[in-house]
Amino acid sequence: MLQIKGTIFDIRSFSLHDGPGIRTTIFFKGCPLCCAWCHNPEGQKVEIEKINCTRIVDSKKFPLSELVGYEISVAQLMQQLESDRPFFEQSQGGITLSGGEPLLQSAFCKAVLQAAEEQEIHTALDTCGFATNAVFADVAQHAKLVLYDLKIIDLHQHRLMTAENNDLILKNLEWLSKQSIPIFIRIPLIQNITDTEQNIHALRQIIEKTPHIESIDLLPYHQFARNKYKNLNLEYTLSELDNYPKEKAEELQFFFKNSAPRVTIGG
Amino acid sequence: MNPRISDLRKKSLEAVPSISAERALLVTEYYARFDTAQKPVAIQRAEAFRHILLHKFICIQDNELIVGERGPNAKAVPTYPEISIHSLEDLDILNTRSKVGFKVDEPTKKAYKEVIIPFWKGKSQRDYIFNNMTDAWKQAYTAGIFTEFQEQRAPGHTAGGEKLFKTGMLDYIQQIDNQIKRFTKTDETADRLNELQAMKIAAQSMIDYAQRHAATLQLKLNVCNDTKRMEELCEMIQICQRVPAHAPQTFQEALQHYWFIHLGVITELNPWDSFNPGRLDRHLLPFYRKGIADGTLTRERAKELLEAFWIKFNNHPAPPKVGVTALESNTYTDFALINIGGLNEDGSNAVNELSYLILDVIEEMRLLQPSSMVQISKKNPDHFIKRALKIVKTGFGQPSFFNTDEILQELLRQGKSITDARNGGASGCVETGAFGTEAYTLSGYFNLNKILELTLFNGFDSRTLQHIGLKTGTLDHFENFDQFYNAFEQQLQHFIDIKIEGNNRIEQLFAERMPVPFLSLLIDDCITNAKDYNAGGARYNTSYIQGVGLGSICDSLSVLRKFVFEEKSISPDELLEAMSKNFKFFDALRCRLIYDAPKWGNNHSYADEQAVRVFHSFFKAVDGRPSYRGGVFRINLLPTTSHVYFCSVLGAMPNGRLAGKPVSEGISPVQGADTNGPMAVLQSAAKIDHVCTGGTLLNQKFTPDFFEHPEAMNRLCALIRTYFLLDGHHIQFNVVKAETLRLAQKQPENFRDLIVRVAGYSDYFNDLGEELQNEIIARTEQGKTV
Repeated sequence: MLQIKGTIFDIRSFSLHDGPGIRTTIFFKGCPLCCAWCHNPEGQKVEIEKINCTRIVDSKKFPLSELVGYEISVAQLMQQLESDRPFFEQSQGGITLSGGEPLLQSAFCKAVLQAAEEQEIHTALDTCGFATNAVFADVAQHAKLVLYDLKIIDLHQHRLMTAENNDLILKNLEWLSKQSIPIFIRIPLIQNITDTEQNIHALRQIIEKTPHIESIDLLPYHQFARNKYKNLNLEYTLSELDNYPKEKAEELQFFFKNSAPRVTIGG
Repeated sequence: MNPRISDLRKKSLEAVPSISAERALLVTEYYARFDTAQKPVAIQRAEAFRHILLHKFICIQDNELIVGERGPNAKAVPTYPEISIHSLEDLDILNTRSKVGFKVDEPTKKAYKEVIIPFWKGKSQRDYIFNNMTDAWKQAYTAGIFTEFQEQRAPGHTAGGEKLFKTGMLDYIQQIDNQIKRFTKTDETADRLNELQAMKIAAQSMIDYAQRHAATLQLKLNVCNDTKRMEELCEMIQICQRVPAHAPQTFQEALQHYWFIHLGVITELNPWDSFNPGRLDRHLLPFYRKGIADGTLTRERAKELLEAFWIKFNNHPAPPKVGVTALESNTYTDFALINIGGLNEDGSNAVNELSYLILDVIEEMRLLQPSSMVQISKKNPDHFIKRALKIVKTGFGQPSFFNTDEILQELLRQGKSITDARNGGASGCVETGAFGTEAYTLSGYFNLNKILELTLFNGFDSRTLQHIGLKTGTLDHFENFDQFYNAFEQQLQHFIDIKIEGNNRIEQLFAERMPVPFLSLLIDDCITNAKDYNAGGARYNTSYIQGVGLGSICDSLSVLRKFVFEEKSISPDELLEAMSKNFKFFDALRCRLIYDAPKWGNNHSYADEQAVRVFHSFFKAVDGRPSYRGGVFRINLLPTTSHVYFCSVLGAMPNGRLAGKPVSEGISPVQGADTNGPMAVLQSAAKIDHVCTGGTLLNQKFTPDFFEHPEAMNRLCALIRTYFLLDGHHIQFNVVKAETLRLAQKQPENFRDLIVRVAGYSDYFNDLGEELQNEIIARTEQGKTV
C-alpha cells in the first residue's frame, strides 16, 4: 500500500485555513468539477502539465515553462511529513488532503489516510464530495475530519457553474452525517452565484438537518487566482468579478450563526 | 501611561544625541596629574573613575523618579579617549551623518583639538591594539574577514545576577577588607592587593556619587513649592543616601540602586554591550511583593517607577562608534536586554505577576531602549507567550523569544553549575551567559562568505589585491565537492588562528592596561579571586567569535556542489567569470543560480547539509581554544548590522548575490530564499546544533493581517514551542509594513518568502497580481498599528 503513487502539485506547510492546529496541506492534482471561481486551476487536470511562468531578476523577465504536478508514493510522502510531526503534536494539527479533489485519486487518497492513521497523524479530507457513494465511503471513513464543500443546492445552477450535478454530493453528505466523523462545511461566497437568497436558505436547511457539523467556514471569493489562469492559458470567466465584500460575508456569518457551533470567515 | 511618564518619555524621544567632552576632559585631567603615572594601573583606573564621578555634572530632570545621567544631559554621550580617540574628522562625520548621528558643538571640538587629542594620541588602547597586531591580522582585518569588538570599546557583555540587588557598596567594601587581610604584601601579591584596593576605591566613589545626587535633589527641594513633589523629593533624597551604599529595601530603591550601578559600569569604560539588570522580574519580585503586602506600593506605582526606569535606558545611546565598528553595529541601541520569564534557581517556573507587569510596560513604552525578551521554558505557561505575542503583533519587533531549556543545555555543556545556568539568560542580541558569574565577551564578527570567496580564488582577495589566504588550489583543480570543501576548511582554520592569536593579545592588553575595578565588584568571583574582570577574575570566562552569513554561504556551497561538481552543468571558469563581472551579461546564469539551486531555510536536506557542514567546521575551528584570560573561545551566530558591512567587502557570490548586497543575517535564510513558509525555516534552522553555540539569531516576517486569523496566536505559540522543543535558541518576529511590500513589488526576487494574508487564505506576495498587491499594500497601510 505504501508503494501506491499519486500525482500532487504542492505540499504547503503551516497552512492556516485548512483545519485545526498547524497543518500541512497536500494538493492532489485533478478535479471532477470545473468551478468558475476555482482558485487552484492548476489542480483541475490530473495529468502533469506545463505552465508558463516568468522569473524576474533585476527587473529583467525570464519566461519559462514549468511542470505542474509530480508523482509521489505514499511512503515518500509520509517520510517527507515526518519532520512536521512535532509541529502537529504541539498544536493538535495534522495533514489536510486537498486539491484538486483528493477523491479523484481514491486509492492513493485512501492509502495516505490509512498510513497517517497508522502513524497517528491527524487527517482532514478537503473534498467537494463528488464521487460515487462506494468510493466516498471507502475513503472518507479513514479521515478524522472532513472539510466538505457545499456550493449550490439548485441542481441546474450547480451544473451550470461546476459542470456537474450535485446529487452525488448531497447523497455523500447524507452518508457522512450518519458516521461519527466531524464535519466542517465550506461554502465559497461568490456574488450572485452562491449567495443568492434562495441558495443560502437551501444551504442552511441542509446544514441544519445534518449532524456532526462543527463549523461552517465561509470562503469569500478573491481575485488572486487570476494570474494563474493566464499562466495556464485558461479562460477566466469571472475576470470581471470583484472581491467578495467583507460586510456581506459578515452578514452571512450572522445568517448561519445558529446552524453550527462555529461560523468562520476564511476557515 | 500617566502624564508625568508621558512627558518624560516625550522628552527622551525628543532629546538629540550629542557628544559630550565632559568625561574625556576629566579623565585627561586625572591622567595629566604629575603623580598618576607612578601609581599601579588598577589604582589609576579606580582614581580616574572617582575623579569623573566626583566632578561630573549631576543632571536631574524635572519630575524624574529615577535619577542619574551618564553625561551632563539626556542622550549627551561621553567619550572614552583611553580606549579610542575620535579624530576631528570623526567628530565631523558624527555631527553630519544622516544615520545614527551625534551633534558635536564647537566647545567640544575645541576641547578635542586642544586637550584630548594631543594628550591621548598614541596612548589609547586602540593605538596599542593596532601596534600589537601582526601583519597577517592587519591584512585580514582590512580585507573584512573579521571585525574586532575591542578596537573601540572595552570588553563587556555582562549581566548582573541576584547579588546585585542584595548587596550594597559597603558590603563589597567589607568583603574586600576581609580579602585584603588574607594577603601579606609581597611582590607576588602586589597586583592582587592593588586590584582589591582599586575595587574599594571604586565602591566608595559610587557611594559618593549617589550622595552628590542626594545633595542636588536637596537643592531642588529647597526651591520646590509643590507639596506632592516635595514629598517625592524627600523620599528620593533618602533613597540616594541609602543606595547603593546599602542593599535596597523597597521597589523604588531597587530600581535606583541598579541604575546607579548601571551608570557606574558605563562610565568606568564603554563596555560592549553596556550592562544589564539580568532577570529583572525575578530580582524585583521580593521588593514588589513586600511593598504590595505592607501597603507601601501599588501596582500602578510600580508600573510608573518601571516606566521611569525604562526612560533612563532610552536616554543612554551607545557610545559613538566610527569606521568599521560603526558599520558592524550601526545603531543607538546599547543592547541592555531585559530578561523576563524562564526558570528560578530551583528550576521552577519563574513567570510571576511582575513578568506580566513588565510586559505591560514594554507595550506602553515602545522605546528603542532597553531591548526586551521573554525566556520561555517548557515550564512557562502558554498564556505568557501569548501575552508577549500581543506586543509583537503591534509591529514593535519586541520582545524576542528565547528558549530557556536550550540555554541551560548550552551553559551546562560549557561547564557551568546548574544553579549558575538557571540564573543565566541571554544578553545583547542573543548571547548566552551565566548572569553575575561570567565574563563573556564578544571578540568580533567573522565573515564566513569571505572565506569562501578566498577559497574560490585560491587565497587572492580581488578587493585589496593581495594574496592573503592560503594557496589551496584553483577551482578547476578540485575533483569533487569534498576536495573543494576541504580547501575551504583549511582557509577557515587559517583565519580563525589569526583571529584568536590577535584576540589573545588584545585580552592581554586589556588585562594589563585597562582593568575595571567597578565592574569587577559586581561579577563573582572577582573579589574572591582578587582579580579584575578584564584579567579573568570572573568565575567563567568565555570569548566568542560570531559567525555571520550562514544562509548565504550555504546557498553558495549548494550551487557549487550541484552545478559545478555534481551536474557539471556550469564550468568553474564560467562561474568565476560571471562572479568577477558581477553577473553583468550573465543574467540567465544568475537567474538559474537564484531559482534552480536548493536553498537554506526550506527544510530541503540537500541545501541544509551545507549549512550543517559549515556550522561544524566553524565550531571545530573555534570551540574550546584557550583564551588569555584563562577561559575558552566559543562560537555564536549573530550579525547585529555586520552583514551589511561584510557585504561591502564581498564580490558577487555563487548563490547569485551581487557585490555589495547584504549577506544573510544570523541563521536566517538569504533574504527571500525561503519559499516553503515559516515552518520549513524552523525545520532547517533546527538542523544545526544550537546547544554547541552561545546563541543563534533567527528572524521571521509576518504581515500585520496574519494576526487577524482567530487562531493566529495559538498557532504562533505552537510554532515557538515546537522550535524550542527542537532546541532552537531564539526567534523574533517582524511584522512587515507597507513600505516593505512596495519594495517587494519592485524586487520580487528578494522577497520570495513574503507571505501575506489574502481574504481568508494566505499566499506568497510574489504570486499575487499587481492589482492585488496594491490592494494589500493599501490594506496593510490601513491596518498600520504604529
